[in-house]
Amino acid sequence: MMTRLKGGTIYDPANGVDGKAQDLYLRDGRLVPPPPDGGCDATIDLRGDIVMAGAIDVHSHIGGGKVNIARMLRPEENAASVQRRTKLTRAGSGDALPSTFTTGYRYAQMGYTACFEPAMLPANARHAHLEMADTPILDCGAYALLGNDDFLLRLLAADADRQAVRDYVAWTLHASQALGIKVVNPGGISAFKFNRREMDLDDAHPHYGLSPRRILLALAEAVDDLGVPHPLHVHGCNLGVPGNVETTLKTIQGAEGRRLHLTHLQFHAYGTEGDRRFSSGAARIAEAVNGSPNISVDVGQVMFGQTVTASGDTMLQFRGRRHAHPDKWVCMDIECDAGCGVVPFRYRDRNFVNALQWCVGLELFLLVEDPWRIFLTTDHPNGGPFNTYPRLIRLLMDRSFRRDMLATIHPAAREHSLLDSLDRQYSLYEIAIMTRAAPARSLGLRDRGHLAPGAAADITVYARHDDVERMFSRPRLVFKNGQAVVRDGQVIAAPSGSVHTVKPEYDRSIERRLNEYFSRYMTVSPANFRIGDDELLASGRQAILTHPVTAS
Amino acid sequence: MPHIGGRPVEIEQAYRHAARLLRKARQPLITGMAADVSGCRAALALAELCGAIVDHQHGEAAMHNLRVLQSKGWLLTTLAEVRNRADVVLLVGTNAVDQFPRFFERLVWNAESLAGVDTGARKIFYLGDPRDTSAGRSPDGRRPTVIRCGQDQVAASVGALRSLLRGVEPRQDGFMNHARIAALRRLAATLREARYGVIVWAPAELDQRHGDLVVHSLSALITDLNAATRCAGLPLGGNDGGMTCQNVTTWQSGFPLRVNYASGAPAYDPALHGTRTLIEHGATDALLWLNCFDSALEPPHGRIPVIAVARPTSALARAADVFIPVATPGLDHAGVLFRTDSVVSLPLRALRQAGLPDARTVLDNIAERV
Repeated sequence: MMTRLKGGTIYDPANGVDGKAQDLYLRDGRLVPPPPDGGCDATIDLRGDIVMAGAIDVHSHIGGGKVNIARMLRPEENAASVQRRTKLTRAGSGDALPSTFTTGYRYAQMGYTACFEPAMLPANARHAHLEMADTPILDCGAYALLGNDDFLLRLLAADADRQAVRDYVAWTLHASQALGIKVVNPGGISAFKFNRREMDLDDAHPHYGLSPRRILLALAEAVDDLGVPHPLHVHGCNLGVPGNVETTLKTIQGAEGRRLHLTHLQFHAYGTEGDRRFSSGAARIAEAVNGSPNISVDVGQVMFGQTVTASGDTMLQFRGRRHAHPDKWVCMDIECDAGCGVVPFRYRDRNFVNALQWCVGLELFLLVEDPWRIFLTTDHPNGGPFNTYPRLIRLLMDRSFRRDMLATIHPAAREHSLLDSLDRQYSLYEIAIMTRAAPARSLGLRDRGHLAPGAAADITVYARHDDVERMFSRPRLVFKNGQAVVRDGQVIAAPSGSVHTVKPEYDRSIERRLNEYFSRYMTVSPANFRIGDDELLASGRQAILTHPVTAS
Repeated sequence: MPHIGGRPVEIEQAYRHAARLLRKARQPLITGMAADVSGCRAALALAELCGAIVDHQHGEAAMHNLRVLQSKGWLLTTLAEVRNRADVVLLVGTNAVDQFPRFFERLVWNAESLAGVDTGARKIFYLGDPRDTSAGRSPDGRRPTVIRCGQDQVAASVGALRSLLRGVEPRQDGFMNHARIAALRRLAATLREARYGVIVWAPAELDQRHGDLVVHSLSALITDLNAATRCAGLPLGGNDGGMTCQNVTTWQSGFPLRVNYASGAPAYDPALHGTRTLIEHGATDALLWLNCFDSALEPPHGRIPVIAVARPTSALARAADVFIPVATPGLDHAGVLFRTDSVVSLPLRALRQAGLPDARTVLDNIAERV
């Protein structure tokens, strides 16, 4: 069936289309060239509407052990916002920690068609995929966490060759059905298990003697050697620590031209100036990012309100437990693999530190020049729930709204920030880059994030509105693989999405080493550790989409 | 064969009758919930459809942990960490092997450690009244230390341990006498000097009235110890699909168990929605019992219709209003089950053909006819 989407104003930066009225044609789930005879089975009138590819969230904690622990920790949070079942939709609850069905519907209602879990522990991968399978409509995928697992640390400490590290990273991608590799506080989560309470970029791990820098570079090298499209996704050392701007700058310099993606950069951009010894380091970080084309970033913007911080960084989450609000938290040491920490938190606009954190994130957005290298995230739920994205977009596009908001925060934070002096307003084109075109390119999703013939028909249609927050909150129509799934804010269909993976070739001899390791030290067999394709499909995914690696 | 009122019937009749019972009920309850991930998913879908409460047969024990998690939180560890990192293991109110016979063999007296721990030199302590502590004996014959007390005295003992860690002498009385305090003082010192202490408990074995107080105390003890050294908790439990049910219910509803879908939206009430409480107070008028594993376990008695989706050898075949025999995950069909430490889930494989439907098939069929 050939469908014509008539006359919408298209923003398709991957193909250089900047607000041009154009028709789109869909057939069999894809965008296709206009039919030569002009014949269509259906036409939908989009004249006056704004059309973009479906949005892609490159970093959002939507499924897996720590997210589920966070839900269990906060029943009062979830009870405050429950959703009833309908004929088409399942029941659910939560805002900061939505249950899986609610997560899928709500993202789709906001015009998102793909979402990626950024910190999947290989030991917990099966669970993460089960939750993603219960997240309707959205395509999903995840980055496998490495860099604190004893297997890798032993390998590096024994000066294993580059080939072995490469093969282990590839094995992990296959076994956990991942799309990329993530590292969190390299060596630090492991060091905490040895009672180390802090770890800087060049400190030695208490047991293995390795530095975070060494671990980081080894993984970045392996990711590049394997041709994994997405760069090593880095949650750096010293998250949240005043003065960590220096760590972040050293990390950027230390990349030595290698590709790195620095995630939730806002939490890594703090100085120690001023009498409160907490200041913004955003300007220096932005300058470094602007001068380093090998670096991409996502912001991890703080949005005022109650949320939960959930991360793999046990070391820093344990340190931060005193700021828990409400006063309860969970930390876990996990399977000689990694760890996790869940700490509920409230960001207050009248609190100097929180208000300055809010400014730091916005400064980063406005000072980093290339919209192809900076992605819109709140590190859901760590900076705030994903349903705050439309408000964040308005803050970026509407300078006077931003200034109005700035006037309501802690006055000293305002004075310590550059924000008032920043005039920049994001255009729709730049928003489209940051929320669709760039994430798709960064992840290697060649047929998503754009609207040229051949692309999957993941399409979002917005009714124009002066208030961009309103516009982005409630798309008029959302298509997933050519099927209309949302209309006027209501879910009208809830098909299953697919899981995106990457599976580079590797030398199977690494499996001998792994078999020996598992048998000596682990509590599961390698066969049970792996997630097979059949298993993944049986759990409810529509398809496993494996993307090509890029030739080195 | 399926049964209605003890008489064998075709499965279609059983499905229809079960659906009718659920449809007619004002507040149905789905409990037992001893199933794998696919069985739990189907049960939750059915619960949502017919407005039922969902609880697990070991819900009472699970609440000892959940109450503490939801009011205070904790610091926990997982099996491979214990195996590789622990140098001191304290078992509180349990000997671990009654529930997990291979606990010591797999996690304590293992040969090698990734963290350079001399596993044979691990120090083992029991606090409580363990039946059999022989598994706690080291390979070279060293006996564990047992600080014996009744289950109802465990909370006081843990409290004293916390005091001693802070350098505050506990008040002496008949129970907390000089010898006991000395033993607890030695334990406190050992935990403080440990590199990685592991404190083990089993919610199902704790004093049923005050289990959560013990867990709360243990959580506080662990937090205290982590000020200067490393220590973590390991709750043992989640048997009969308990951990699976808790995880699936949480990610699908937002709450871990005792969720009521009567209004169409999930409502969480751990006090009101417990199986035993509901039956004893006549607050439920139909019960669906799901147990794919153990044929010996049965729901509490009540004068309400029971739909049993259970093993073929279960006595419920004759006693239940409707009985539908079901396959066992990991024997008759593939599936996924969560391990006791909740992080790891294991793929189960089919080893034989039993010719019985799996829980998902049965529950989906009932749902279609509701």
